[in-house]
Amino acid sequence: MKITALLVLKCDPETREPVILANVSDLSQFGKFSFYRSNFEEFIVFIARTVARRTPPGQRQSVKHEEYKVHAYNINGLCAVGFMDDHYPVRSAFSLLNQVLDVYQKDYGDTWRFENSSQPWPYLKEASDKFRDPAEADKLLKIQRELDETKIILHKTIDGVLARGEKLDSLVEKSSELSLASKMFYKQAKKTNSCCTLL
Amino acid sequence: MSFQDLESGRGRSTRKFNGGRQDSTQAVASGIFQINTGVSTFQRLVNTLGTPKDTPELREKLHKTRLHIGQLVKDTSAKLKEASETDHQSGVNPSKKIADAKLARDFQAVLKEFQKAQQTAAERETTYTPFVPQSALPSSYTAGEVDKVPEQRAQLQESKRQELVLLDNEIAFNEAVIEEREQGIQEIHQQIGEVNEIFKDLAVLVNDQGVMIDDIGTHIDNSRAATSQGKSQLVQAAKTQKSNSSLTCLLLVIFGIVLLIVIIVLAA
Repeated sequence: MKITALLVLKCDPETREPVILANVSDLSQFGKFSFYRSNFEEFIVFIARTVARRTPPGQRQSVKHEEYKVHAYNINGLCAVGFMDDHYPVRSAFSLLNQVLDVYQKDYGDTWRFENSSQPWPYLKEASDKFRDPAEADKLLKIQRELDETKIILHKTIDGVLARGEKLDSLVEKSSELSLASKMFYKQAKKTNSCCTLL
Repeated sequence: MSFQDLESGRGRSTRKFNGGRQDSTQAVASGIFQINTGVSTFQRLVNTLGTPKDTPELREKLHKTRLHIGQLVKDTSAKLKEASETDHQSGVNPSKKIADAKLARDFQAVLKEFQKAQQTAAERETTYTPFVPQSALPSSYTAGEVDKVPEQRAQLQESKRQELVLLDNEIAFNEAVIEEREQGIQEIHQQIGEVNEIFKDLAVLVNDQGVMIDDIGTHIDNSRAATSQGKSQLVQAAKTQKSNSSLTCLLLVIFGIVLLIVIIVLAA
């Protein structure tokens, strides 16, 4: 599971092209001076604008493009776009986008309506790193993971208890044999003693 | 001559006394009567407060009536004071005193009524605002309102439609989120059910192993009992073996002695 890019865009109906307000990309898969790096950034910007333009206010959308899943969430013209891979859960993705929009509105208020250029926004980087684990963005997923861990531990416990059962079986057999041997010893001693008494 | 003089003197004093009594007492009575009338009018006006007839004109009339009654109260009070002074000075006729006292009591009663009416008026004036008739407004204002109403209504309807559309979108969106969360909760519910099953299995296993441990305990107890009994038998065997050894030794000694005697007899 991986977050390749996060962007915040302004989708103004009056303007045809959405304006990128903030963005962050994880380009670690490419070399620092690789030819593909700038191409990849252009690719991300282009896809993000296209998806943002096609997401009406108050709507959510998920688009699959090559090996990426692009999620978009538009609230009153402010749009968050996330590039994830196929394994990233949809609910976690939208929860993350929702938090990004909430924090953006908290940090900048309504000034984004008059903004026409991209500004550096450290929170996007933090969010990208923090929510690499989908459970951080989705409490339900976190609970499911905890339940999975609990089931694993319980299965191990059952295995341990079964092994203990086998050992107990051995103990039962051995204690039974010990009991029988003790009885034989007693009978033999008694028999020998009575024989001597007769003599 | 002296008798005539006496008669003429008495007549003069009687005339003066009657004239003074009638003037002051009647003036006070007249004042009280007017105050009574004014207070009745005032009360009627106060009762009109808070009704559709409550207008600024009525309130102004109320104010004027209040001032008028106040003036009457001042005048009557002065006259009453004058009358009481006359009573103290002359101290001649008891019936005049009684009449003046009665007038004083009536005056006080009227004052109390007036105060109550004033309090009620103050309360109602504060509670209610005067009713302004529609005709007071300029006709052009009304005409303007009538003209603007259709356009405003159209704009209102349009904005309401847009709001409804936005609300519908929001409702659909929220329903989708709720459905997703319900699915997640269903999954969690299912997994908790599985955890419950695992715990039940564990309980069964633990119970079974408890039974096995009980069996082991029983077997070991039986072993202990059998071993202790065997031990007692061995102790008895050891004792028997010791006594048998002593007997053998004794027999050997006796046999030796007998053999010796036989040899001696044969030699002799």
